[in-house]
Amino acid sequence: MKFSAKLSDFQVCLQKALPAMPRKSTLPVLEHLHFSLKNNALQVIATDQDVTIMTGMVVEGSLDGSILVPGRRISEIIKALGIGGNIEFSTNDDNFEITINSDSGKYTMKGLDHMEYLNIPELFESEKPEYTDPDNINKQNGILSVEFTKEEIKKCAEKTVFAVSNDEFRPAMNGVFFQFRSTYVNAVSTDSFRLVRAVVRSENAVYPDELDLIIPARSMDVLKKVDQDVKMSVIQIAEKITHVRFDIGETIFISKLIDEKFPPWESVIPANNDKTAMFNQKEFLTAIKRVSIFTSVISHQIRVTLEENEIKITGEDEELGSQAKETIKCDYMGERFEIAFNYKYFEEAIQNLDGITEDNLLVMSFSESTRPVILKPNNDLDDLLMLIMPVRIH
Amino acid sequence: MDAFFASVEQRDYPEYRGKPIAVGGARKRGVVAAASYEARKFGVHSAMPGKIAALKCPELIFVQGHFDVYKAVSKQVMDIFRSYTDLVEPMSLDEAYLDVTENKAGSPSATLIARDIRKRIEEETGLTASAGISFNKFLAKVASDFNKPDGLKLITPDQADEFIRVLPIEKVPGIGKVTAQRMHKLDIKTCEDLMRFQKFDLVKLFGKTSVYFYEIIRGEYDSPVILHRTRKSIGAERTFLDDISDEAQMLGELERVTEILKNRMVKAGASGKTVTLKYRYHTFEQHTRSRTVNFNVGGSGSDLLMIARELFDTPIPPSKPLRLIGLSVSNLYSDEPGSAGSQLTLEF
Repeated sequence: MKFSAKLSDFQVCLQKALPAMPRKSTLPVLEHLHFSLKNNALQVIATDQDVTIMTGMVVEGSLDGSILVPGRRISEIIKALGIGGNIEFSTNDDNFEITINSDSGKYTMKGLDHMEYLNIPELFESEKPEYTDPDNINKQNGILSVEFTKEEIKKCAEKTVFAVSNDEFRPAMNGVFFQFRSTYVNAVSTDSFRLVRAVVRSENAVYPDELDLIIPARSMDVLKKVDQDVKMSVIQIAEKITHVRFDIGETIFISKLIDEKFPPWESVIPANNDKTAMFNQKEFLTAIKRVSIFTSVISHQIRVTLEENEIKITGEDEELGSQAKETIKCDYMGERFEIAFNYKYFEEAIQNLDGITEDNLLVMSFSESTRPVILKPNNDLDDLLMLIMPVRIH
Repeated sequence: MDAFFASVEQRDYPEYRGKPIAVGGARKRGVVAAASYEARKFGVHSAMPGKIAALKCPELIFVQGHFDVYKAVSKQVMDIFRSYTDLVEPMSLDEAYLDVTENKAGSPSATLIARDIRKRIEEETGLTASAGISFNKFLAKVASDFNKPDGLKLITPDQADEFIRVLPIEKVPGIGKVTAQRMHKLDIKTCEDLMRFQKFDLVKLFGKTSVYFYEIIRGEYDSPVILHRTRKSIGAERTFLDDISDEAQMLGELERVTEILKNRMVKAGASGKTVTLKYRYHTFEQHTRSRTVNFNVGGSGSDLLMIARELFDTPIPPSKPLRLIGLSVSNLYSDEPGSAGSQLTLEF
């Protein structure tokens, strides 16, 4: 196998595949990237068995072939070479030695026979869905498929993934729950201390109806970084949906799904949060950042007190004798109301509500100091909701 | 209440009256839950294996318990207590502390109230109860045991010193059989003997709880009557009729115990963060394994079984025949006010 390529393009290509490669694996072959060259098309595959990425680039090929390349080593040297110039990549098919020639020098490393790589049926046997008729794209050739703009998929990923639970004993919560309901898609995450719901809507019924999937947090992290529109389809084995496939340009990204039942999240969204306060996102966020410095490292507790048109944010660490108090303006009419939170949950929620509306105003609604609080941007879209459970005060 | 379960049986089944009976303990490996006073004369007491009880008292009649009835009677009795004061701290189905400093009867005398309560219990349930009256919980408890059954004992502040000095250490709540034996070896027989020790030495000899003994016998420990005693853990366990050595069978039993515990938890509305697996080998050697997770494990859902199985398997499943397997959840989520600072969770 032999080709030459522009260093900067080669770097981009490796960056796309690497998120699927495990840093450490019990299967050493998985710490390799699968390279194969046919004419001028280089194909790169990485997998950790839960997530698989196949990407590629156009190179100047001179000898076709396949090889497994040590993933960490090649990515590090390519990164260290900078972005200027070209490289020449060649292999010795007798001893699987890989040589990279660049303007700076020559680097050699040991690869593995590509035949040792895993078979990835969900990759090689799934088909790229076709999209022809936008009114009838749900089921073509039996393949469920959906189109997301890059803004839509980023929103579903960015706004939710931070609230996913990393508790191995609650596998259902280790991912983002996608609910497809013909004209809209809910992306929901929770760790039982907070919950996020992001919604993507369409004027037409372009989404499948009544399709529920849980996509692992790791895969959502990959989707957070996509820079173009994606086409999503599902992969079924014996009539059961096991994987989800995203076609991002020429890159194929396949993720295993979490085969669990997501908790009934609708039932915990309070309908009777009758009190509301409106405040500036940035003012609140910077106040929390300062006050939190003075809270107890064990409880991380901040207290939020609402009085007419102002919010007091206080934090203290009784044991160490530190205290902080800030007051910011807000729109609130009603009785004095006091509630406490783990500041990290509050901070993360507010952070993720940044820049959604022009005026950057957030609306907080609540009922009692032991009941969930809802944070939303100040608009009527109802497409983003963050719920936080408080810390008991008394 | 005096010999509570046994007395209820004797009340409801006249043929048992005047006879030594034991509630529970009839099964191969069961233990006696309660013994009538007639049976106690033979040395039969609660928690004694049925086999041994039968040896001690050949005429002993084993009776199956009627827990619904005990519960109903308990409620009757507790309602009587509450008609005198709201400060009632139930210790078990048939025992409670009452703070009658201020009472609904407007009576200045605790003794008169105790008399009244005992009379009403007898009239309304046909059972007898014993009462102890004093100025703290420890002395009240000791006093109630003093004239059992059907007795009443008052310990006034003037009498307290003398009373405590001669009190055998076994009568001190919290000093069980094992501690008592160890104390006897050191020639500690009465509370007076115990008083000779410094707090520091007691802790060295008998551990941290001895601070409590040190204080109560000096009348320094004065805990209030607590309205809601909070549950510390909830559990279930099974002792097998025959020892189990097959791993699949062990797992089956673990699932059964988990199911029982789950039902109990749902009923009690309990959830907690620490799960403990207990198993006892046929040799009586006992082990526990526990794990604390960062969410509240509840009675519904599959979390509990998953954790139980993980505890069972890690590092390796029990290696010898099992006599008992048990599972409990502690570090309980408390909905009581007072657990300030606790992070609330969404109840799915």
